[in-house]
Amino acid sequence: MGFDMEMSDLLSVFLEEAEEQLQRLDDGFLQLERDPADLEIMKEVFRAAHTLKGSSATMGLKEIADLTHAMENLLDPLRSGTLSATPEITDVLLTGTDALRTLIGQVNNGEQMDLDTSEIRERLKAACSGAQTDSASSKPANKKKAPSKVKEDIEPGAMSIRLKVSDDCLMPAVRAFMVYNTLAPLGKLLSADPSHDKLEDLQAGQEMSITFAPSDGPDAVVAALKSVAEIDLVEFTVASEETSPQQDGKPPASQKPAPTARSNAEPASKSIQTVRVGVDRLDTLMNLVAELVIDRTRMTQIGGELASKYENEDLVQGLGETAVHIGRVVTELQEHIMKVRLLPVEQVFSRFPRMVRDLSHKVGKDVDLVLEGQDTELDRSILEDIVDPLTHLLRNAVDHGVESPEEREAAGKSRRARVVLAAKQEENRIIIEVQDDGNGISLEKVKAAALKNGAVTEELLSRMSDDESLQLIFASGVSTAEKVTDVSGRGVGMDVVRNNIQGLSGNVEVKTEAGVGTTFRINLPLTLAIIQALVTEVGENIFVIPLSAVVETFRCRADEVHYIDGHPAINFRGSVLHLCKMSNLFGSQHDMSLSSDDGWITFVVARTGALKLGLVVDRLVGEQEVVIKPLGAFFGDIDGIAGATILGDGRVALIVDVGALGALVNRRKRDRLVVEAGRA
Amino acid sequence: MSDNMQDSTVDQWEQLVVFELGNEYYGVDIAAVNTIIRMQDVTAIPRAPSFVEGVINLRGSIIPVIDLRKRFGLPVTEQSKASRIVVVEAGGQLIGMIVDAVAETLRLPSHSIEPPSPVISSVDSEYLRGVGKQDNRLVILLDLDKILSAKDFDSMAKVERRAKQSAEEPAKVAA
Repeated sequence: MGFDMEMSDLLSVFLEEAEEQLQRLDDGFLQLERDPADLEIMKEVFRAAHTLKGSSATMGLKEIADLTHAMENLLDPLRSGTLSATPEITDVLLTGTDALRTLIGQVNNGEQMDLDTSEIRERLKAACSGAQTDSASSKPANKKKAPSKVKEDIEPGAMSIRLKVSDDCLMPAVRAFMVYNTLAPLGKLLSADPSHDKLEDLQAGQEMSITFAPSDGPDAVVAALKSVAEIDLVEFTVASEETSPQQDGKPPASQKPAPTARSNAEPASKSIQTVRVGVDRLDTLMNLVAELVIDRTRMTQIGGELASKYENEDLVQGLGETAVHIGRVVTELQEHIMKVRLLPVEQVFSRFPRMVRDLSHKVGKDVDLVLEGQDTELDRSILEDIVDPLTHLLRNAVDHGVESPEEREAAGKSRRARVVLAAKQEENRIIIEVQDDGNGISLEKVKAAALKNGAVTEELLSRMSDDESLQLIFASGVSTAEKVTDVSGRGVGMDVVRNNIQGLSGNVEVKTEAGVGTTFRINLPLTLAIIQALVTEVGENIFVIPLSAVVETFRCRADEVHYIDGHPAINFRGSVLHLCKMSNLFGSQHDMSLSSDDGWITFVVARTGALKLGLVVDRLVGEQEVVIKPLGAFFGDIDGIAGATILGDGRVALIVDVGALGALVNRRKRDRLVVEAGRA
Repeated sequence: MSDNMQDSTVDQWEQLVVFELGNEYYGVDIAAVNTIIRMQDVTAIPRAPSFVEGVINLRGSIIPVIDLRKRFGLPVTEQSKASRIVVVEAGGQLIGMIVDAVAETLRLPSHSIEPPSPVISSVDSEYLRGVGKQDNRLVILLDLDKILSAKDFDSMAKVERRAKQSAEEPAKVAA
């Protein structure tokens, strides 16, 4: 029973909880640096370190236990007030958590722990010697000891043991497992509640009951159990004499059924609150739901056609009602499954305070990172992919965005700069903003850098609005940093930021105000798999345009179209709107002229970055939810096509990649200017 | 072939799906055939090689469809009622091939299959695995991996695209 719990099960429990403790340590150290007198935090940090030490020692992870022990030694004088948490000391402590994280990572990957922590331990010790080194180190926190040999004598028999996990226990599951581990060499476990596969749900303050057949005697068991920290022995009873010791672990028939039956009979008492599910399973579910979404649309269509064909048929009406109901259920199912895939952005945000702190120290700035809207939820896959862009934007904000304390003071601002990382949901989109209260981006510098870099020509620049020019910082190779540091300033990065975000069907914009600060605003879809889209017809083809890129739809007379170097454009609300003839995606690219039978041109105004362009279509069909499917490796990347989807009638429609079409137009603009320059 | 001939063991069989293309019979290994479906609407893909008809919806998956006539450079004819899409698996991917008609499934003894000869078929022998004889009929065995290799496609698509572009460039400059 309980004892065949795999080591790997235990390990995963340990790893998961260790990760939590590490985060707690990281957060705690940072807070302590701000406010060394905060006793509550001190206590929490201490508890986290202590727990980590104990559990790693139990797991036999000596390196981790030793290092945590050394950190704990440094924490002691901090707690007693003989030392205060200077940035230097915090640095040492954070280096410690970094090393711990590396070690735990190695354990997680099943690698050997080969990180040499002796140097870090030395540094911790050195930091410690600022205060009196004494009692702290001598305190053996982990009292786990091999249960000394107990002479085989007195009456053995099955024991019923009740244990209680202390109320403030941080890692109940590991504690519980330590109990089982401690008991393992002492006899045979007959039953346990919670059983080993439910250990993860054990809460602090909860009771455990164990029926155990000791091979040596109850005293050894009791002694061993007492050595497990944060576990209290409530009571134990030893079964009557009829249990013979010679049975050697084989429990008497009378004894065994009772506890087994009991532990089987009351699974409800420890209800399971959470289930961990592999991401691939969620993906499979999502795919299946996507299939249903397609069929739902199809069914509604068939229902509609049938209804118009057999108007007064009861059966058709019944079918229609059922179809509507199924549609509703599928919608709900889809929403719920989508929600399951959502995670709070906190999971990503939590790593940034540490990063911003280290970075601001390194570049000699004083920066306060404020996190907002951490409980905003985002699709898992998107969450993973925004880490890099956000890291980059935050590094930029610290390195270039905000000024040094001296400069800030001179400008009449507080010495400590403020960088805000905020997330919020707006309808079906998630907005993440990185905002600094620095000096703003110099538009002139951006323009100069873009010119120098060749991202834009003077001619073109003169025609651009300030807002458009500012977006040039997303062009490749453009950097306004005066010097290149290892942090930023190489001009690579902002284009990567934009590409990453566009790859997620999102967009990023920048706003800046001289002396007041800069805001980057990232706009992301809630999920990637299913999007709202505008369905359009172009000849025999159906193109689907993501609604996130659509600004509006418009009609103009064919004679309003001008041709710039043969490429159509119109004067749209006071500025030039380049028209993109969708039918040109196929076949001949020469024929740029636009015409239609009735003299009207229909186009969809779509936006990518700062550029707007008009996608010329034959007919607008309507809005629809579509499931994005890849075209597959067979076709590779096709300029202008982001993927395909299956429509309600089973036909395949192509999804337009507005970003790529925009890039095409931009390239053409540049080419034209090059050609013009060549002629002049 | 000679090895097989000399063995003259008849235990080795090849099971084939045989279809018509032009006036010839072609065969593919039955294990590679996923399904055979009637012609349906094919969605064209921009800038794909000319022999790629586009994509279709096969039970919720989107798969590419190629026109075997165009692939082999045979004269293109109107699709008829008998036209079928043979969906095969090659290189871990499902691909549809448009053929004139599907004839039958066939069991051929291995020894009756000879290596391809350029004279026998209008198709480049590079794409052939062999030629099977049955009664008075020849069945040409296709090497699916060669016909459908994505690598081959990609390079072909690139060549075509480049050709198209160079055709357009002068026009652009002139404009």
